[in-house]
Formats: sequence, C-alpha cells, structure tokens
Amino acid sequence: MRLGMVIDLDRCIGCRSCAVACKSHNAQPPGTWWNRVFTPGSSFHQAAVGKDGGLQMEALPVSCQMCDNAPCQKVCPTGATYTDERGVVLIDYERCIGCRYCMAACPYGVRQFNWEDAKEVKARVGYEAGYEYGYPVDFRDKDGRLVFTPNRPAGVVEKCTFCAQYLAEGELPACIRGCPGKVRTFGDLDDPNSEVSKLIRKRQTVRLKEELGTSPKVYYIAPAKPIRLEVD
Amino acid sequence: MEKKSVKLTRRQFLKVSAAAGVLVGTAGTASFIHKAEAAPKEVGPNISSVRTTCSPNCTGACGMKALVEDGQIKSIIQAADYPEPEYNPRGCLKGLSMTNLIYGPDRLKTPLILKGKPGSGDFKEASWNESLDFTAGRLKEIADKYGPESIGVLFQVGGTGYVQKGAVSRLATLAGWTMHHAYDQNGDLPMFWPMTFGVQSEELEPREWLNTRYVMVFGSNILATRIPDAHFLLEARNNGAKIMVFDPNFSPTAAKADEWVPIKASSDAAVGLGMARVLIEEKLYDSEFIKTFTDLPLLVRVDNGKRLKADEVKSLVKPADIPAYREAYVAYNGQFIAVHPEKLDLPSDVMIEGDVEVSLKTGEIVNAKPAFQLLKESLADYTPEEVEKLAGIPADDLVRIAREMAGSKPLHIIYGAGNYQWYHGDLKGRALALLPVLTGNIGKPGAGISTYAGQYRIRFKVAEWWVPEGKKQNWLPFLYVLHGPTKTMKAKWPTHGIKALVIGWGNPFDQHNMANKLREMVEQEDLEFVVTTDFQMTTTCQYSHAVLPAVSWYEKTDLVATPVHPYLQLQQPAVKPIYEGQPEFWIIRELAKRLNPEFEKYFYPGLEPDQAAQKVIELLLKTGGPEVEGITLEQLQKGPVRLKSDVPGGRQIPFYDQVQHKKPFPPVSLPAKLEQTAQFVKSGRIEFYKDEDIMLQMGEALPVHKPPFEESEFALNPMAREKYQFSYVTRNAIYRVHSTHSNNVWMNELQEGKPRVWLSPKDGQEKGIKEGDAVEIFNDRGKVTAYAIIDPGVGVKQAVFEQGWWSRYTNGESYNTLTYPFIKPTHEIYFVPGMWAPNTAWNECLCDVRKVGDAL
Amino acid sequence: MKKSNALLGLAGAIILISLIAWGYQVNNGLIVTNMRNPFSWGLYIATFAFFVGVAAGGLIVSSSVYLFNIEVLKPFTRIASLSAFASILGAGAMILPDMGRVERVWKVFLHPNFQSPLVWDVVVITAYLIITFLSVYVQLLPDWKKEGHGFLNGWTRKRSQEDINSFSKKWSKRVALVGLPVAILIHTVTALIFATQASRGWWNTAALPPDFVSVAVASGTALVLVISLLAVGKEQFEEYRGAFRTMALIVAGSLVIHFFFLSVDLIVHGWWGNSEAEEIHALIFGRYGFLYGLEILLPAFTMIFFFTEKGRSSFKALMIGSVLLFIGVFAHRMMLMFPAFNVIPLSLSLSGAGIESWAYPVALGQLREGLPVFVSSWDYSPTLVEYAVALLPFGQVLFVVTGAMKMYNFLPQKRIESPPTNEK
Repeated sequence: MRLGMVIDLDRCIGCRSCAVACKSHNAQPPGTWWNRVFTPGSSFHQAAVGKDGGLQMEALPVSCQMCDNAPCQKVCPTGATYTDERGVVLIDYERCIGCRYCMAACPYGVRQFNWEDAKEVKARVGYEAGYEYGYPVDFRDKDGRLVFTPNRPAGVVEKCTFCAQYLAEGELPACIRGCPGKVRTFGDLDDPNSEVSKLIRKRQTVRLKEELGTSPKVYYIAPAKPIRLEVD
Repeated sequence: MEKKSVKLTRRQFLKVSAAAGVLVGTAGTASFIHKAEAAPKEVGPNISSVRTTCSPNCTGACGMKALVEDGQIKSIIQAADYPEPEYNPRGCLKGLSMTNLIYGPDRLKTPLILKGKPGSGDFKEASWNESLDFTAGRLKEIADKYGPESIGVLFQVGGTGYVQKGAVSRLATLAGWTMHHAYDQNGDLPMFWPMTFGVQSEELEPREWLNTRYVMVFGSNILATRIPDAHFLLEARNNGAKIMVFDPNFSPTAAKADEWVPIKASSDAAVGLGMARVLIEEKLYDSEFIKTFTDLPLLVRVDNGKRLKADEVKSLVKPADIPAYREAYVAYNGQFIAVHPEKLDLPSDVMIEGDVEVSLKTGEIVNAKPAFQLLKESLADYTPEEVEKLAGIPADDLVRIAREMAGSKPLHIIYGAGNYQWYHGDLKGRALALLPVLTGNIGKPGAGISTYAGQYRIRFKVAEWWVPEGKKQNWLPFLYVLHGPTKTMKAKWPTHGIKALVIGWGNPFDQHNMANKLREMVEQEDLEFVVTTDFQMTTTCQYSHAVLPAVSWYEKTDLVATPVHPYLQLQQPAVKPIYEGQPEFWIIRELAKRLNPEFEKYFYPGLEPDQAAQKVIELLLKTGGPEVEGITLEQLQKGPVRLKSDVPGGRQIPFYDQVQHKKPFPPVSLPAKLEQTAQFVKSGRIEFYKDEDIMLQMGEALPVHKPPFEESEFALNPMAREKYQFSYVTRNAIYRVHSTHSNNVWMNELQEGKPRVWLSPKDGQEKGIKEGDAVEIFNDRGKVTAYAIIDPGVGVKQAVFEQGWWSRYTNGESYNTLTYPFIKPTHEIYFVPGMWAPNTAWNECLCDVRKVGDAL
Repeated sequence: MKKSNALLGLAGAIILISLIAWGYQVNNGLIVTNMRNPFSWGLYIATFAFFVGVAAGGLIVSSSVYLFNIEVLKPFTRIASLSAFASILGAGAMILPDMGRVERVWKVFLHPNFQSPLVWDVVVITAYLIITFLSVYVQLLPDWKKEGHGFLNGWTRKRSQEDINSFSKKWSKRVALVGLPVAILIHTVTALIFATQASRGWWNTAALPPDFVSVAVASGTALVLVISLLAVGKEQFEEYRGAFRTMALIVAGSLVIHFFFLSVDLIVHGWWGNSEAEEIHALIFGRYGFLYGLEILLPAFTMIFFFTEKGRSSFKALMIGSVLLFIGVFAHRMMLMFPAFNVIPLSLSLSGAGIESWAYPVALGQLREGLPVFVSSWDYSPTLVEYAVALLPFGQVLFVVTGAMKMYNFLPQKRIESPPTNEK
C-alpha cells in the first residue's frame, strides 16, 4: 500500500482551511505550520500576479510530499524519520535528536523544529489556564514508536503525518475533512481502482520539484481553467 | 499525572490494534477512502464529539463537530452530515479555529462594571447579581426619564440563533425598547429587492448554481466571502457554465472565472443598462415573460409620470376584489385593460411599445406609454460607446456578453454587497435585475438574481417566541442614531432620541462607528448607558458601562436557519460555559425579572437555559408554519433537516411559485405580513417603474446609472472632489467574519496580524508607497493606518481596506471613522424594518492615502 | 610557566562561559539562537566545519614527514598531532550544542542509519579522534618512560627504553600512514554532509569535498604553524626557519588548489545561468558580499604573501598570514550557510507571469509580535548566546594544547634533526 494524495489546484480557492484544520488537529504551536497555502508569485496571499491586465492568482497548498525517495529519511542519523508500510513518512519523536539535517535536506520546507517547549509557547498565547488544543492523545505506530503527541518535546522536528492518529481510526486526514472546496483526494496509489489512481491516470498531474527525483506521493492537478472535463 | 499515563497507555494499545487492523488489507483502506459517517460517535473513553452549528455573522451556518475531552473542546472539524453530499463539508478556517476564541485571552471571565472613562478599559469585576442589578437599575432610570423607546437594542442577525436572539426581541418588546434591524444597519439590505420584487431578499440555494449555464458576478467575492459554497461555482464552471466576473479588482473569484471584466467603481448600473439596451434593441428579450410577470406593459402617464390607475380611466372599472395594499393599473391591446394585481394573465398582444391617448374620468385626455416604451427610451442613452465611457468596459465586449447571456439559459446574476453598499446601490440592483427578468430567467432552476451578502431573512414564523402576544414592537433604522432624524423619515424617532444601547452579538464601536459618531455619543454622554453581552472583550465592551459575559455557540442550545442554505440545524452545547459565562437567554431572563417581576414568566422560569431553549425550539417548530411543519427536535438532534418549500424536491428557487403558478408578487417575506411588503409592488408584478413621488423627483422612476459621490460626499462637502480622490473600499478578507476572529491568533499568524491596504502599482508609485509601508488612509472625518499591499489587480484610485479589525490593531482608531451615515431619500418611502429602510453605504466614502512609515 | 597558567586560566574561563551559555540554551531551547526553520543550521555547524578543517592539518603535517620524507617538518610532528587531536575534540564537542536533544545522541550509536552522511561523519571523526590520540600517545611514550610519568603506560614498565623508543618510532609511522587517509576522509565526509543535498544548490557540487580537503590542509597546516611558532618563540625562529617555510608553502599551495576548485565551481554554477544559480550569485555578491569578500580576499592574500620570500621568512609575517587565513576560512564556513538557506529550495517559476523563481514561504517556528510567521528569507546573525556557546571548541583547543604542552614535552627535540640511519 502506498498512501498518497491528489490536490486539485483547479478547484482550490486558497481559503487556507486545510492549513488551519491541520494546525488545530495536530496541536501545532504558534509559528509552526505543517501545511501552508500561498499564492505563487505573489508577495501576499491572494494578491494578483502579473501586470498590464495579464493577471493570475492561483493557490498552492504544500505540506509533506511523502516522498518515496525521501531525503529527510536518508539523512536522519538515527532513523527517527522512517517510512511505514503504507508509505507514510513519519518521525519518531522519542528518537529524534534534533540535528535538523532533515530540514536542510527537505526541498519543500515542510519540516518544523520545536525551537522551544511547545506547551510553554502555546500557554504564552494566553489560553484559559490548563487549556491545550489538538488531538489530545498520543499515538504510537504498531512498533510502539511515538509519531503523534499533542505536545511535541522541545528540540525535535515535526511535520505532517497524514494524520496518523486519524488514519488508525479509519478517518481521513484533517486537511481533507477540513477542505470546503473538496480539493483533496486520498487513497492507495498501488490500488489501480482507488480514486487517487484514477485521477492520476485521467488528469494531468504534476509533482513538486520532480526534477530532484524525490518521487512525492502528493500529486497536483494543474489549474487549467476553464476545465470542461467530467470528473466522476 | 499518574492517572493520565495509565489512561494513555490503554488508549495507545487500542490505537495500535486499530492501526494494525487498518494495515491488514483493502477492507481497512476502504474505511477511510469511502467514508460516509454522520452520527456522532465515541472515539475514546474520555473523548467524544458533539455536533453543533457555527453561527457567526457570515451566516454560513456550517455544521461543525467538536472533539471534546475532559470537558474541553480540543479541535473542530466539519460535521459533513448534510443529507445531500454536495453540501459537505461546509466550514472554513475561521470555524475550524474557534477554539482560539472560546479559550482565548480575550474571553470575558466575569461581569464587568465600568469604573473609568468609556474606552479606558478601567473596569471592576462584579458578581452576576451586582452587574445585573446595576444594568437593570440604569435601564429603568433611563426608561423612566426618557421613555422606554429611548433604549435601543442591537442584536444582529436573527437567523443565526432563533432562541437566544428571540429572547432579546421578546424582552425588548415587553419593555417597549426600540429595536434596530441589523440588515440595514450592516448595509446589507439590497434595496432593489423590495423596490423590484417586493421582497426582503431572495436567493438560489448554492446547489442550484450547478444548473446554471451563465453566471454574472457583480461586486461579489464568493471565493472569500462564501468559502463553503465557492466549490459550487467552480463545479458549475466545470459543468460548462460560463462565469463572468465584473469587478474593479482582480479578486480570487475573478481569477477563477472564465472572464474578468474590470469596470470602474460603482458603474455596474451602466453595464446592466447597456446590456439591457442590447437585449431590447436586438429583441433578445422574452416578450411572453415580461408581459406576464412584469410591470413593463403597464401604462404610465406621460404628463405626470405616474402609472395610470384603472379607476382613472373613463372606460374602466377598478376590480372590486383588490386588497387595499394593491392597485389595479392599466394596459392596452387595442382596448384598455384594467390589470388585476393578483392575476398574471395579460393577453399576449398587449402593447409594450408606442403610446396611446387615454380619456380619463376627469375628462382629460392624456398621453400614456407602456413602461417598456419608457424603459426603451431611457436605455437609449446607454449605447455601448457611452457605457464604455461610464464603466470602462469595451463596447464590443458589452455587446458580445449581452448576446452570450441572452443565449445561455439559465442565467444567474450574483449581485454582491461590494456593489450595493453604495449610495446608489439600489439603482444598480434594479438595473442588473433587468437582465434576468428581460430574458425570463426568474423562478426557474439555476436562474435568477441573488445577493449572498446579508442573510437576514427569517426562514419560518417566529412571532410566538419573538413577540409576546398582543405587544407592539418599536423599530428604528440604526442610521438615524448616527445621522440624526430626517424630515422625510417614516420610522418613528423617539422623543429624546436613543439614550441607551443594549448590545449583543455585535461590535458596533468598531463596525458602526461612522465618522466616530458612536464613540462621541458615549463620551459626551449622549448615550448615557451601554450594556453589552459578548463572550469576548471587544472594542464595544471597552466602551460599555456594563459588560455581561455570554457564551460561544459551543456552549449553548439554539436553533439556526439562514437563507444561504436550506437547512434547519441545532446548536448544541459541546461544553459547559467557560468561566462565568451564561447563555444570552439566561442573561435576558435575569435582566427581565429585575426590570419587572411580571416579565419573568415569559422566559420559562425554573428551567435551566438549555432545557428552556429546547422548549422554545419545540414551540418554534410547532408554530413556525409550513416551512418547519413536521420537523421535530428529535430529528434535529440527529442532524440537519431540510426546510420545506413549495418547490418540488424542497429546492430553494425564488419566485418559483409566482412564475410556475402565476401567483402575484411578492411572496411573503417573514416576519412581515404580506400587506406590509406587497405595498412595495402594488401591481403584483416585478416592477421596474417606480412612480412614488420621491422616485420621480430623483429621476429614478426607471433604473438609471448615477455616478458615485455626487449626491453623497460632494453634497456634504464640495471640496471633497478635489481633496479626496481615492475610493475607500472596505471589503472582507478570508480571516475574519466582520470583526469576529480579528483577534484569532492563527488567523493573525496567516497575515502577520497587520491590517492591510491594497493599492494599485500606479497609485503606489505616485504616492511613493512601497509594499509593506505603513500607510495612513484619511479624510476629514477620520483616519486609519494600515500596511500597503501593492497589487496589480487593484483598480486605480482605490484604497481597499480589509474590514473587521478591532481598534487595538489600528492604533485605537476605528477604521470606520472615515465612513459616513448617508441616508438616501428613496429608502425612506416606506418603512418596514429590515425590508424597506435606509441602508448603510460603507463604500460611499472618499479618502486619500499617505505614507507614514517604511516597510520593516 | 606563568604564561601557560594564564593561558589555561583563559581557556578555562572560555569553556566556563560557553558551558553556562549552553546550559541556558538547554533550559530554554534553541530559540535562544537566531536559527529558525528556514535557516536551520548556523554558527554551530560552521564552527564545527571549521574545526574539522583545522584538525586535518595536524596529521597531514606529521604524515607528510613519513610519507613524503619531509624531514624538515619532523620537529613538529608532536605539535601537529596534538593540534589535530585538540581540534577534532573541539569539532566533536561543537556538534553537541547544535542538537535539539543532546541527551539522546547515544541513539546514533544504537540505531545508526548508514545512509546518512552524518553517521559516516560520526564514524570517521571518532576514528580520527582515536588516531590523533594514538599519534600523540605513541610519540610521548619514550619521554614518559624516561621521565617516569604519563598515563596508559603501565605496560611500558617492564620494557627497556630502547624497546619503547623503537616502538614509538614504528607506531608513529604506522599511525601517520593510517591517519592521512582518515584526515582526508573527515573532510570528504563532512563535505558530503552538504554536497549530497540536491535541495541546496550552493552545496550540491562534487567540487565541495576536494575543496574542503584543500581548505583543510591550508588551515590545518596554518594552525600547526601558529602553535609551532608560539612554542619555539621568536628567539628560536631562525633555527626552524626551514620548517616554517615548508609549512607556509603547504598552506599557499593548498590554497592554490582551493581557488582552483572555487573558481571552477563558480563557473559551472554561473555559466548555465539558471534562476537558482542567479539567486545564489545575487546573495554571495550582493547581500553577503562582505562576508564573501573576506572569504576570498583574506586567503588570497595569505596565499600570495606566503609565496613571497618576505611572507614566509619572519615570525610576524607568518603569524599575520595565518591569522588572516583563519578569519577567511571561518568566513568560508559561515558562507556555507547563507546562500544555502536563503535560497528557498521550493522555488517556483510562473510561466506567463514572467516570474522565474518565487520562493515558497516557510514557517519560522516562532510567533513574535511584529514579525511575520512565514518568510522566504531569514536574516540570520548569531545571537550572543550562540557566540558564547561557539567559544567551546576554541576554549578546548587552547586548554588541551596549553595543558598538554605544559605537562609534556612537545617542543622540537634537537636530536631528531639527524635521524638514526636504521630508520630508513
């Protein structure tokens, strides 16, 4: 099984709901975003790009690309970053030594370091005493590796897990459930009958920085308005 | 700690087994690939999820699910439980981050009583008893001194909470206070609706967009302001509909459209009229439709501009069975016809062009022309070349688009607040309404004209709860509070004016502080007392004498149904009220019994607020009329229930009944009675010719284009023409619902927590302003500082400010100090609260910009 | 003696300051540095790379004596070995404060991922640490035997002085022979940490490892030269002029190779003229022009200076040349970071909008009033805490070198000037 995602940029309205859903459900401290949405070419999100009437404005969501050939995993000295049986690239928060080599290696800027204690940072926002947001329970993979914990220890690197805590419950990742534009499709790339496989076959897709050979499992359907194709 | 770790270990074990299960085979995969699960479920020993309805003033009314652990909401996700999958998953980034407001630093903890000056933030914490006694005491004093009608009540949009807001209406009615309708207050009342169709407002439900073939968007940024519904627009486009966006600015919606047609600010009427002219000149209109459903065949006297009435004409008798609020007019097909206002059955040979001599009962002979003829004459001015001058749309494009539009049915026009929140917003709506009406695109699937801003329509009868039996309500459009009374006003001005405000669900000291008026009124003790209920310490709370901590929509029970989608839904408490917060119902009940012990019995004494709210819901369902017939609380507890409608399949298609079954216009606009709104279109038809005196005086009998600022800014101050050449446009960003979420930490992370002003590169260059510079936007009334975004998609001479910022983000000044409470006389012809009332024109505002600081 | 006590005191103070700063950092997290998500390595890694570089020089000098029969350097083999040992110890220590979870570093040994160049580096640096230690050790054994002190030398008690002398000679040579490739390897591997990363155009070049070696030879030799100069003092300068000349020539010669690689690399990067290379060039010649200027001009000066007779024939000239070189090389190590991190890897071109390279903003990992959360460039300059922590290897090297030289005899021994014939 290789879990992957198809993001239809033609449908993406740039509302950033996926980024916020991700932030909330994965308890990311202030300043940390696993999932970002920007307007490529623009200095400010949703400002137009171009000049003299030749304007454009597309949104591009970027989170972990779940590379098959993941440089972050290859550089990790302790094997804290690993790819599980489903092709999901995960970080063992109890094994990460915080060397940040993976951050230098990742071409997508998705890896986030805990520069300070997440709990303290969150508390500084001024929430009600004792309040913490995010999925409240630790999640360990079948080998007992800690791949989600609501308060990441200071000094470790974190990133998107395809919501490992939800996948285990048969739930879709928060970015998918949180997307009002129904832009994201999720499933098994190895299964030719999965929706993602069908989309990749039918539609013209691109992957980010494909020339680097990282083989991401996140595919983008290019914005090619107006699209007159029927998508079932 | 010890206990927690034991619990976690057990949880982890469960998770690990579950994970293993998922990994085993395709059966596991299927569970998250083909997911279809709606019922709330227990996801762990201490984790549960509660379904409620997100209810800020976007009125999106999205079903959301709160993940609750140990009595705290940990995260929120779309409930995605609408029976029609097209509507799933409704929600947006604000709703997903409500936890930041519920548990955030601005949450009110206890009741507060002002110690220092208003706005000083100098409060003392008080007990509920103390603060309620104080509030009730002050309100009684003011009512005794100035009369109860001198107490104004602001409670915003009813549809987002029928129970709690209804409680405010109930008390206000009992106490004889004056209510301010949020629709016109917020500038969201598109006055062309009552003028043309006799309704408060109507719109296609977004699912109907899928049936449209041609969509014309004027002044609406669906992608930012209707995030949960934007996908329908793109799906319609991908189904083959053509999306045309007319906007001075290249908005996200324009970016996704087939064509973006940049037009000059407030020139939409010219575009609409230019296209209508093409339709008429090239005979692209639906003659059958306009004869049957509009006033265009009705004769108008050339001598006085008034419609010819049946009982004026010598040979005609006014039909006897006509209600007082209707009028029988006259048409001609060789013979004069007395047109019955409740029968849409004019013969197809009725004259629409030319003129005719009419003998009146008085013996006079006057010349009369069908309204269509007058319209045609009036439109003659709007040649493609002339419209190009007025609006900047190339003449060829205008003609091409008009022809395309005429040939593509169904046609749908989305007419947004960015367009009608101008002084002449009504004219623009009337002009644009010509397009779907002339082409017969009304009352049919996927067809019509809709305004998706301003979701104030009440979806069912609420009187049983909102208005205690036998009591009259006092209403006053809020603009008069800021502007002062006018000679022409129809609403009743309280003898002493408004001396106190009771505020809930709103932040008027930022959002309605036009020309700094509201703050001055409090500072000068014109407003002697302000009490605000809110769950956060807003700017308005800062200016209040008493602040009563309420709760968010995750902490109480309510019933929600707004016009944007046709579902009736519950708000259900996911957690107990935080700190000392209380549902507004409880606050109102406590206030009521202190004002008058007699009042308590109206508010289910003895019942807990949530129990009482359920009783109210049952009452509303029982007495709400056909829209909610048969719907029970139990059904709603299981999930959203579609409101009933006369349209087959329960679809929300405005005027379906009128057009399909030839029923007279208008349909009822709740909560008003038909006679109140039918007087707006006395002919029982869609009216483009308005013969009220003021309409005639202002030259607006037929829709015309009038340039902005002439009758507003320049009338107020002729110097403004030279001094202030920038339009101050206050639009919505994706990060706020008006001023809600202004302080949401994640929303501010996404935009650096800074207010922005968007300028064109040309203006930036001329003013020496670079991206990121601090810019002061100012006029004689006020100023606001924002940081520049230089955007090549912004039209020239526009300062586009993203509205909703609390004053603490704008150096203490409200961004609305620049705006002015203009009142257009045509809005005063009738007064029906929130239906025909002076509408606030936020965008009718001129300013200048200057750089005050460098980019960091 | 007094002088060395003062130096030891200074070294102790430096180490103490650095440890206090590190303690502060451990308590508060790496937030006390100015590194952030888009710029995730900084002064620490640069200092680490610098010390790895100077560490090489030692064994290269002492190995050359054996491999290339550069007899004139023989008096300084002990100092060279000591310098190498102290430097690699410093480099190894420098890496620790950079770890977010330093207490877990042992996990590298428990679960090593052999795909990771960082693991390779751990292996070669550990090996180098052992080799340099052994090199010092075997060279000191004869003295210890004679003078009856030292450590790990119980086994020599039963042997004769001659035995130990010849053991020392034999093993010094063997260690040097093994040491040289390892010395080259630590540079190669350290360079590979960077050079393997296709995400960072500034690093991703095969020229980086050989260039690292050339810079290391230059800076490492310069360190031996400086320590040697200080050890023998101005008074005895003339006596070892030949050795110093040779070292200066090694420095200058390896800098020639360095500049060769540098220019070839610049040409290869620049000639094709893609947008990423253009961005890099804009950074090195624009925003970081000063630092890049130091990196180029100071070593270039030293190179030319050391090729002149004047430059390598006085105590002062050699000191100046070496110190300028250190500064230049340190700038070079810092410049590893700036153009690498401030060219965001995820840069997109927008056809139709005339935009060739638009950097996709990265979240900082910190929320601070007035500061954006998302940036496409980060103005990194180390904080005071970082500077203090980065003093650690400097203090260590000073401490180890001074301490060792105070306790044992590292000074050139005259008799070595005429080696026994049986060694040939």
